[in-house]
Amino acid sequence: MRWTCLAGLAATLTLALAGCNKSGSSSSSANSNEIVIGHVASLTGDTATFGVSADEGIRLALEQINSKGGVLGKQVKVITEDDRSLSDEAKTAANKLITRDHVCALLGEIASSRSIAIAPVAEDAKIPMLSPGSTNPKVTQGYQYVFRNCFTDNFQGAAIADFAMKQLGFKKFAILYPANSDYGVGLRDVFKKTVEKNGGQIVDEEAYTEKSDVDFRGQLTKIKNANPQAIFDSGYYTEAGLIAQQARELGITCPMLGGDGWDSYQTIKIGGKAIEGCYFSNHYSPDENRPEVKDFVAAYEKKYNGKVPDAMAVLGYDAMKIMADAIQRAGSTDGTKIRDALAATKNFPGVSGSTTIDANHNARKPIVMVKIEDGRFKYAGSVNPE
Amino acid sequence: MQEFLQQLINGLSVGSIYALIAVGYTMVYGVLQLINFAHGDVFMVGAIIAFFVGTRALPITFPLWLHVAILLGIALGLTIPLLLGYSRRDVLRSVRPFVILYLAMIALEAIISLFSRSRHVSVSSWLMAALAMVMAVAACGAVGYVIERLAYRPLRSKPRINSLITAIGISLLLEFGGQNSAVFGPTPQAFPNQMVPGINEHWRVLGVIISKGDVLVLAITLALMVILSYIVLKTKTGLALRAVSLRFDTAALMGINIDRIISFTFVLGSALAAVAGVLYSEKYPSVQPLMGLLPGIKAFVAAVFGGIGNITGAVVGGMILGLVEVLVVGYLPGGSQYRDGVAFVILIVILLVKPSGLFGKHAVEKV
Amino acid sequence: MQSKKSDSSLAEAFDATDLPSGAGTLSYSNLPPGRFRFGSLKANLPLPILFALLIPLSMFVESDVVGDYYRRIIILAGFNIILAVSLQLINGFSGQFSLGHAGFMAVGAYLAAYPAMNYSQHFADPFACLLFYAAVAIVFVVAGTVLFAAFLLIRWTRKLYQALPMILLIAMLIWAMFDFARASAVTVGNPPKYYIWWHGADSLVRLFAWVTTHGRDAAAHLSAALPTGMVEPLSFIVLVLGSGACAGAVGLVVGMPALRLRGDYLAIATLGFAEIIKIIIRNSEPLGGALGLVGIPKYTNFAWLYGAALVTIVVIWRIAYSPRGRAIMAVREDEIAAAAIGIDPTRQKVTAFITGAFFGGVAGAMFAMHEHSITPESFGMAKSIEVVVMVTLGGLGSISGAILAAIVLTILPEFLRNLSPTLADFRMVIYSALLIVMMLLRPQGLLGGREIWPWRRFRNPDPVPTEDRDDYQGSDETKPD
Repeated sequence: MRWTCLAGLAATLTLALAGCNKSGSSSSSANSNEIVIGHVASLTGDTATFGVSADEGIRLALEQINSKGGVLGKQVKVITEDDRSLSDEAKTAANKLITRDHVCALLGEIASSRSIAIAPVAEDAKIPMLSPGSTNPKVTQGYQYVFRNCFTDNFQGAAIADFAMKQLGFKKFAILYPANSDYGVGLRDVFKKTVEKNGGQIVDEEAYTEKSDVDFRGQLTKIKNANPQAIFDSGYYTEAGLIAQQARELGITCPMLGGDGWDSYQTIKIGGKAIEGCYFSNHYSPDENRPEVKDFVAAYEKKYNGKVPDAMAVLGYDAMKIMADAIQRAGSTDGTKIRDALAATKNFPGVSGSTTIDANHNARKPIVMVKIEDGRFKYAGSVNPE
Repeated sequence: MQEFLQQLINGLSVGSIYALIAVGYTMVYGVLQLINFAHGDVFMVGAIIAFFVGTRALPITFPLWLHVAILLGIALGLTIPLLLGYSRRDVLRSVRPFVILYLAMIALEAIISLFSRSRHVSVSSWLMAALAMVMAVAACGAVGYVIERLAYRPLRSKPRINSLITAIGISLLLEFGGQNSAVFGPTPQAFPNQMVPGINEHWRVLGVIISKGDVLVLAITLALMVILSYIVLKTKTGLALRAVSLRFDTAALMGINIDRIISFTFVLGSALAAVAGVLYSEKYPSVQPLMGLLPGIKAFVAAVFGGIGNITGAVVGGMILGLVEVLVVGYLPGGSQYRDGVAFVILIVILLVKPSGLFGKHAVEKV
Repeated sequence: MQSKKSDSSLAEAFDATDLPSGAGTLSYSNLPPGRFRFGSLKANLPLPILFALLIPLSMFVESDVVGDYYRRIIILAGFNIILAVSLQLINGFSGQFSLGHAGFMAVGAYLAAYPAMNYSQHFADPFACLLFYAAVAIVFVVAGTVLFAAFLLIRWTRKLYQALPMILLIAMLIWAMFDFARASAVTVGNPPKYYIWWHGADSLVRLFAWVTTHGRDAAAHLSAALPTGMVEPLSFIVLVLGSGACAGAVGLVVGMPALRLRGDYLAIATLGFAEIIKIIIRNSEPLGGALGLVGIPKYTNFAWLYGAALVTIVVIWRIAYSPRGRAIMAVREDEIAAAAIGIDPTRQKVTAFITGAFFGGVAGAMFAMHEHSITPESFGMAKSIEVVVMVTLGGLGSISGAILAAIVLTILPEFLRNLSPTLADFRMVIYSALLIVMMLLRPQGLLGGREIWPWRRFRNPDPVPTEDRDDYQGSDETKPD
């Protein structure tokens, strides 16, 4: 009896292991008449809007690319793997895309901590990786095959500080940052340095735990006592609305500033009236006057039933287009050649601005400052890279 | 000084929510000796149901107050006689005509809405809030009943670790099920907390800001505490509850229907979780499937701190936990990063020093 | 371990050669476990063979035939095996329901990653790593002695007044918190002498720094004296064993308070400890803070990992099926009865915790040196629950069950992910539903209390059905009123 049980178990295990072979992604059909690109995204989990938006932008671009004949005469296919907003899963997903699906390039991830986790995987496999939205400088540092098509926090933090001090005229700031997020901590550091360099003052600095704290009154009471002219929150949209509400409730009237992590319709929905008059830096604003933006917004709304695209969708769209352009310029699906073509990207007309990849594999792009007014995101100025 | 007072008020406001959730936890544990890991997730289900009710426009033709009044009437008409000890059959039989009438009314409205554009209810009204609360409580009660029936009852005779693992499994199921885009999706959504007019305003007392919402939560918590204590101490069902929590084989010998009492406990506990969920979302209007995880654990700590099985203890424990948390955030440098650790440190300290909690009686170990 | 004389007498007591008459009609649960001859050839032959098999297997796994993706699954399974087997000792054999195993893994991972990055010079300096662990040990002993003395002092005051210890403990905690708060507000540099707690912590840090800086050069000389082939494996072993020892020390700290707790309370208390460990790691700058440590040199491969897994399995098997293991199981079954026949429950329980924590730390260390970067988030509640699920699904008290469940639960999410794209959405829902169904349909787990091989020899008594237990339905001993 026990041997039959054991035999049955062994058979099931072998079948399971074999079943880890997705039907249809066997190595034969992969590269003959299609170009396969992988996308690691957080479709579920805490930061799911980022992953879903990026994926939607990528799919829109894919549609447009394929309808124009594809790349190098072949149709392009994008396989998206969900990493549930976890770094370990992101590594497994990247591994799977590279080794099982034989992708020639990788798009992803949005969150800096996950991009940092999958960068070595792409680097070891010599597969070029293009992150649409990770802004922490460590993502591309020291890697040959990792790129990003957005600005870094070094630029972003400085831009926010400059905008606040020069355009809005503030000198005293309080900082509320998520201590368990690389993005939040990095952005805070740059903001602080820039403010102090320009003669401003940080009157108070408080931390919170991202994705788990909902009550910020303790920190906000301390901030209120320090009397700042503006509060800088370097976290994600998941907390921005709540912080604004609680701040207004406690009687804090000064405006809040944020980074591109605020970019989501949830910020306005949750923040409501409390978040009116606050500013944040973003990769684009839907009401910008450029023709690329208008075309993109129209196409996106048409494909996704009237949904207004957020910055991650734009970045995903741009990333896909840049990757397709690079593969076209490289003339082959060889990783090294695509890498060289990516590194040579100059003045690519992206929806999020004209993109040039610099020597550090980062994009030199302008930052858009967005003001939240009347329940909508309104364009409030751009900061160009020097 | 003013800052300290404000932090005190903040602490009490955070603590009152923990107290509310802890009350449900303590009830279930007191009767079943089971840490219901799924309690935090039932709390989340309540918030999500209230979210759906509050954000969908309801196509009704008869005035809203009529609906709420009838639903409340049916609910009270079911629960109070049952608590007072009338037999289930009699109670159901007497309530039945009203239920049938109500169903007929809803059917009529559905038919009318097919033909004409019916009036959509405005969101900002006490009635809407009451409706959301009632639906959340009913739904969570049903969820609690189903969970108990399907998952906990078969394991009652098995070692406790199996029930614990099953509780963890249900908690995971609810969380991941909620994260599925067909159900709710993983994105936090904004809870319509303008339902009750004026709930977001506040009073200024001595330069300290006290929000009306917090006072409401506190009032509801205290009211529930009193009601629950009354139920447990003065009604027949409460007597049965206490008997089951002491020794259930003997209680069965006395003619108490164990299954029914345990189901009742679960339904009650889940209903309390639902109330907590709705009030929590009023305060922190961001609803997402993982929202119940941490509050659930902290409420458990609060319940243990106050003496598990003791309702007053749960409330007091919750308050103290909230206070300590906010004071640590406010006065310890970098304290905001240790905020979650506070609950666990309190737990370990109390388990080491006085495991029966503040209000519990010290257990004698017999050989 | 017990002396030979008592070994044989205890063994006699459990010898299965005399079965009561009519035994064939009873169920398995009534038969005591048999005796495993540790010195026999039969017991000791498989081990060298398995170790020898590792070499060709590792060449096979590293080759291109297997591919990166499968290799990653196999390696993840390896980590899970070590974790599950070590937790089996705590949860299954010792009966203490611990939900905090990820904390031990975290300690092991971080305390291996930090010296690997900063002391070992890419595995060229094993003695520096040894120095690091020695410094940690010194600091731990000093701090532990002081705190233990303080604890004993507080407990002594019970003679004066019943509630005094609790009041004193809380007062000291508040005093410590205020100390740290005010000390960090002091901007001049050195806080006044009466900030005792702050000064205590500071002097510990300085002691650590002193030991490490003064020993560095000597360590470098010693390491240079080693033959070159030996340096890397030796560093790796030092790192793994050292961080395992640190995790074991943490296990001691966690296990001591755990003695007073039972069942559900213990579960939440261990969960709390794991969370506290995670929060401490997340808030300490040298350990990388929230970003975690990036750039850990990679050394773990199939051979090392599965070698460690084999060692873990052998050690825990030999503990569990020895007289000591039977003592641990006796404590699990009925603590008071065990105490009555002369087994010290404290010692057995704490030993189980320390051993389990040690191997958990080993798993963590290997994990750190396989992944390029580690973050505190990887060692959270979810990981603890994963490991507990593995142990319970395999069957409490069954080592082979834990191994089997670890393998199955590593493959399962990947299998579901690959089965179909729509199903992938439901992957975690199916996983949790499977857990519930498994608990309902076969609560004793895959293998019950048995081992796969040998089938008959290692039967652990099934847990007594709950209605026969005295302590379940709220009798006074475990439930406060």
